[in-house]
Amino acid sequence: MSFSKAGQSWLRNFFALVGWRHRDWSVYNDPFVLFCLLTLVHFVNGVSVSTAEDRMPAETLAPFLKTYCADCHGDGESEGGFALDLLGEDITTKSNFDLWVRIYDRIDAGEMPPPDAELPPLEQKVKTLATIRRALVQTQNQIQAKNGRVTARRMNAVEFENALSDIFQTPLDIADLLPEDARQEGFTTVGSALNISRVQMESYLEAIDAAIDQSIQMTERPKTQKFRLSALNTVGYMQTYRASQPALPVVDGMKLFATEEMSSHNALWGQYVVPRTGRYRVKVSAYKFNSQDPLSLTVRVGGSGHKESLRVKHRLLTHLEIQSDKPEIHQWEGELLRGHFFHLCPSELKPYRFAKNKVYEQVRYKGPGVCVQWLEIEGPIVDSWPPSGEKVLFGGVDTKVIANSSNPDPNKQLYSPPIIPADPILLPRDWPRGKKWNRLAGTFNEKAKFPARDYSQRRAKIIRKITNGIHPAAKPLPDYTKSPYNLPIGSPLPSYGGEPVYLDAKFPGELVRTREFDSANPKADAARLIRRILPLAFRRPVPRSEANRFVRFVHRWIDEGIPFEQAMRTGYKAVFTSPQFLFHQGSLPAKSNRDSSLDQFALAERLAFFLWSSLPDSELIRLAERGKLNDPVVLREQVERLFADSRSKRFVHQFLGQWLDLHEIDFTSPDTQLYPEFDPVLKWSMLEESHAFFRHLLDRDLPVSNLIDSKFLTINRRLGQHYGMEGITGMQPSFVEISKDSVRGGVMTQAAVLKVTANGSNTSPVVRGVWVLERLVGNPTPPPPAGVPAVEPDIRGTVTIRQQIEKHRSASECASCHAKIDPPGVALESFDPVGRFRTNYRILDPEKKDLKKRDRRIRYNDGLAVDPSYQLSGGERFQDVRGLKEIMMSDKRAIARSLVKQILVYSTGATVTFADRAELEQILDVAAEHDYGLRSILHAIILSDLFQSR
Amino acid sequence: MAQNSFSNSRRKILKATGVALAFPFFRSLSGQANETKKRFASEPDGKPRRMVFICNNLGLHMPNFVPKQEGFGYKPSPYLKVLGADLRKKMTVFSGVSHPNVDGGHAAEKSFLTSAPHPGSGSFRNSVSVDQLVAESVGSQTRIPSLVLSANGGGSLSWTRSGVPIPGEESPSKVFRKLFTPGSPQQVEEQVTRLCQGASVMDMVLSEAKSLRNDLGREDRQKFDEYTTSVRELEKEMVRQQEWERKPKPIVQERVPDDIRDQADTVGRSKLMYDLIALALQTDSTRVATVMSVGWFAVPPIANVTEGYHTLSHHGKDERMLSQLALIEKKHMGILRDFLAKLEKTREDDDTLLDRTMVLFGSDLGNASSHNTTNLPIVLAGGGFKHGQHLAFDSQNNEPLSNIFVSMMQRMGLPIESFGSSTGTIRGLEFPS
Repeated sequence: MSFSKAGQSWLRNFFALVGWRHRDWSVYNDPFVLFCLLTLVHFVNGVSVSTAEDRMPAETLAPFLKTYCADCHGDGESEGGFALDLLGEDITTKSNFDLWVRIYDRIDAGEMPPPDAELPPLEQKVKTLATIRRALVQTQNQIQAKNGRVTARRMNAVEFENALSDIFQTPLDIADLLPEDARQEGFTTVGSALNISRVQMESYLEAIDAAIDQSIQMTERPKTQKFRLSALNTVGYMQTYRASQPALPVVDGMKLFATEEMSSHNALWGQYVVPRTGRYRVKVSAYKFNSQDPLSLTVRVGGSGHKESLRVKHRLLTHLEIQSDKPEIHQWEGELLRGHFFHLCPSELKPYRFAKNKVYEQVRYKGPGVCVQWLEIEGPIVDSWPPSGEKVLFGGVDTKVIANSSNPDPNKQLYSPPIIPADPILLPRDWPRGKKWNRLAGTFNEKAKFPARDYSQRRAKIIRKITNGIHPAAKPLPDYTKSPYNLPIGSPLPSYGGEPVYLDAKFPGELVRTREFDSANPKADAARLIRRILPLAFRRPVPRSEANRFVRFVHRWIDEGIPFEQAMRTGYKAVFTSPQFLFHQGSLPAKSNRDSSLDQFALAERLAFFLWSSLPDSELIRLAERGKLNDPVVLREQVERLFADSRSKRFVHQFLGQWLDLHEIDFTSPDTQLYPEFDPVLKWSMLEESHAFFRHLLDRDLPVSNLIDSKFLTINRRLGQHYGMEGITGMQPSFVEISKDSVRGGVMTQAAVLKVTANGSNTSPVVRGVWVLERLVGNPTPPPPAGVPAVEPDIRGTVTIRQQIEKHRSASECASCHAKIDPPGVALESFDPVGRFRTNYRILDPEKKDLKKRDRRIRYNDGLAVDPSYQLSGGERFQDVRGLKEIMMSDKRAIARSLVKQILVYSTGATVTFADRAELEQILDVAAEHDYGLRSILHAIILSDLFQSR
Repeated sequence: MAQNSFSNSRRKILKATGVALAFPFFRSLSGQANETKKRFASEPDGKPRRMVFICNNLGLHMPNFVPKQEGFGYKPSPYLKVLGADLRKKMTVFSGVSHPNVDGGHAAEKSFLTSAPHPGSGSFRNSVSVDQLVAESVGSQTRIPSLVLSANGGGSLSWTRSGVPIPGEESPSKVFRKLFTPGSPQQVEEQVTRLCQGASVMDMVLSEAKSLRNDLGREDRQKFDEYTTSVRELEKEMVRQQEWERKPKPIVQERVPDDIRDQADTVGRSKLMYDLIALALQTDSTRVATVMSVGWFAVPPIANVTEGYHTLSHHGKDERMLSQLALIEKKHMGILRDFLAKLEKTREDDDTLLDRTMVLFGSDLGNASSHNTTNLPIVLAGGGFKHGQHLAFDSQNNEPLSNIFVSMMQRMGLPIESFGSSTGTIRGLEFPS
């Protein structure tokens, strides 16, 4: 494809306004109009001569503006109709400054004067721009020299959690206790947007208590235990579940036919509850059946919506890929919390229920599924005792045993039914002669005193009593293998699945402490502990006088007669709510050093928060202490070390989560009837793709133009199916080369991005277009003027969104912005809300809208065709998203510029201003030598003055 | 677990010494409590008045809500029918009202009680919400200054003076315990200790902050002042709470509510919050309350509803979706009816509690399907206004919603002439003389 001039000029416009945020704009129509009129008013009135650097030299600019702007915008011509008296020469005010930046950008981009007006000679244009630029940069530099570039910035909730996790050496879960952080330019790292309120302070106190609770156990060392569980052996609720549940017990395991849903008791392994928070090793033996393709088996802890399951937060552990028809053993290792219990289901299969009047249809079911043979859980795996967090917070303090305290194993508190290995298919060898054998239900008939019926009734009664708290405990059920039941070995279980039921309704409850502090010299202990933690918390050596203030504070509480631990907690709260901890020190002035460069400790901190979303570690601090960190060679080594560390995963997740809105992946849930292919495995696979892709660019230093279009994907088997690609296996994303004519490649066409830019039932070219301009192009557009109604979505299938938009933009006030917004959005119409490629919109079949839930028939039809072809504001046409990408790929520097800007905002915590532009170009110059490789860009940013000054 | 061991060891100390701990060193802090006591406007007629604000962030399908006729004697729309004729006499239905320049789709919920312009813009800074402004005046008379509730997660309606969101309380049982479950003397002491410690922590970090502040630039100082103000406010509040902690809690018949964990159940969770507010108002535990009710994408547990609430709100005029949406929205109206009826049934002197409580129910969205933020659905019930009509304003040129707020604040007895983008009081809504 060749690029016409028009395409290039569109591109220039597209990328030209980097650094400008329309959202900061308080006036929503064409500001150029506003500016020119204002300026003219000013000049006519004979404005004072301005020579100071904080003024725009209006008289120098007057001839240019009068010649090229006045015709359209002067003398009462006010197409946009604005309040014009806002603009002045005093560019120390933000509104004036922003207006002048806007003026600069529009002239620079060639948007103004418009092509059909009299155009200024190049020389004159350059001169004018230089004049404006000089004034703007000078003024901004002055302001920044005084205040620093970055406004005082506190940690955000994620950083707070990570920082405490790293100090306490304990994986903490406390971010949810803090109020949600505000985003600016999409990022939650920008100081000026990170507010603080009374409530914020109060929640810090609560979060610190929770962090300490999660870090210390104050018990004897727990024993590591190993259990092997059979699904046949789990607790069930009632017979009806058994009749309709998508599961079938077989000789060697439990066949699962469908994903989890509310009440999918077959998926729950209620016979084992995690006794202690800690690290566990989990093994699962499973095989697939009736399926050519591999199937995933989802392993969660916590249940799916029942009260019981909600005592402890749910966690997704992993999606296992079950590839073989023969049993294979899969392993997972990681942290589990006390009270967690297991939940296994093939969550790629659709929800399913057997009709209740066709009892035990499961035997005849021919659909695909996964058979789980057993689940083995080993843990807690304890490397050292007491736990690390306890050592950090209270190490070296004497403890003693609390009399009569103990922690009964919660599994002993579980209510368990008798265990009878089941074989529903084959007649048990010792089945009594003459007795009718029903493969699943034994001698089931309505009147017979069948164990299952009896069992479930008795069981339900007991469970009611337990859950109502009438009985703290209940008698065990009879042993059905013995008289009077005499159910032979091999009989099916009366029921299976279900959440754990505890003999004691209060279980699992909190861990009971069996040790308490017994400090012989609490004041000495307190002083030692506080002095040890302060440098970690404040990430620099802490002068004795400063430390003593905190020590005295704890001592005062000890003097009041408060127990040692409580006094220490109060002290820790003071440490972790103090400004020295909460604020990024680089965003506060260094007392000794008043120049604008970061001191070494602040540099260490900025680096760590950037790449680890947390505090610097001891090595960074040590280098800062020795004054070596700003040595470019050392710094480079350190950056490489930080990348190699597993904590750099936080950078990938946080940066992408904010930049590409991936954190919003759960904000919408696609319409189940229109997009039945969406499920938890697909969602997970989408995120994995985006993360792996960015990581791949980072690890191999690949050009960031890959973000717009790439010759490869990083997808797993499921996403391969979703994208219509064959031969990809495994749940982990793998590197896959794609053909030249593929619509995929780059982040714009990644399913996760396509999902977060759509709502549950439809897509909007406007929403996606704005998103592309803002996030990928770096040229955001202003919000629509007040009073213009948005396009109201109509999914009834008689009109496409595109037709609606074309009507919308025929209004001239809309046209200028929509000419930029719509093209990328229209190109992305080829992708539905779940990121699938489409040639037609889907519409629901009215005939099928009343189908029963268990009916698996497709309920949608093909609707109107998608037309992804469009033209750019410069007139260049493209056929579909491939053409759009090709045009965008023609300016690799612009792509890099947009990304660098985003990373600068994320890493330094301040927006990129006009005065920063020159520096930004320097970063690009450095990165250009490495073909704008992602890793090279990050190095260049970190070595830049922008990154290294406050 | 930590608390357990505290109480154990604390109990021992208390037993050993035989006296409650008094913290002589930190007692000086509690002197500051008095300062907050005096600032309230007493009502002109001596009657305590209350206000409740409820926002349902997915709006209401307007054709089902807005009556076709104006004035008194309008014919009730399908949704207003749910409220019943008796209650309709105690409320005014508004149409053609909105906050000028409040746009940005869902972001508009941030400005519902503040009217701050352009909540969707990158440089948006919010201002104080009407409930918090009122709480500044009347809050010190009650156990808690105001009740900020988030029925279903996802933020609250209340904002501080510095434009910072106050997270809504999400657990009705937690609030219930805080307000009504009497603590043992020991629990009270523990709570007082906790507050005292919290206040002292704030005192400590405030002095740390002061030494840093002097070196800051203008912008930084502003940010930093936000920090120190927050610290000081929390310290004061913790001191004030210490006193309330020692006063006996009101006795109520109701039992601690069971929290609903299922986020899909927007209506059920909102209902628990309404019950809680009714109880708090009946016991005069607070006089100001806000509830943010967020509809999520999950499928609500309502018969014949098969799609997520939020998905249904983007109905795209599809009939199937509209009919399901109406099922949910009627449930919303139903719990509102029950709430108002409960206030109406409660007597306070010669009035009903509803006569002394202004309940504003509405949404920040006029049309959730297109994220339109004009022509909002708004109902104002109770408070002793001359009710019973449909006040219809210009649908093209809306009346500022803040005008209703001003009328409400004046009814509350506050000498307030304007709020946010108000242009006066709301036209057509009168106090009985």
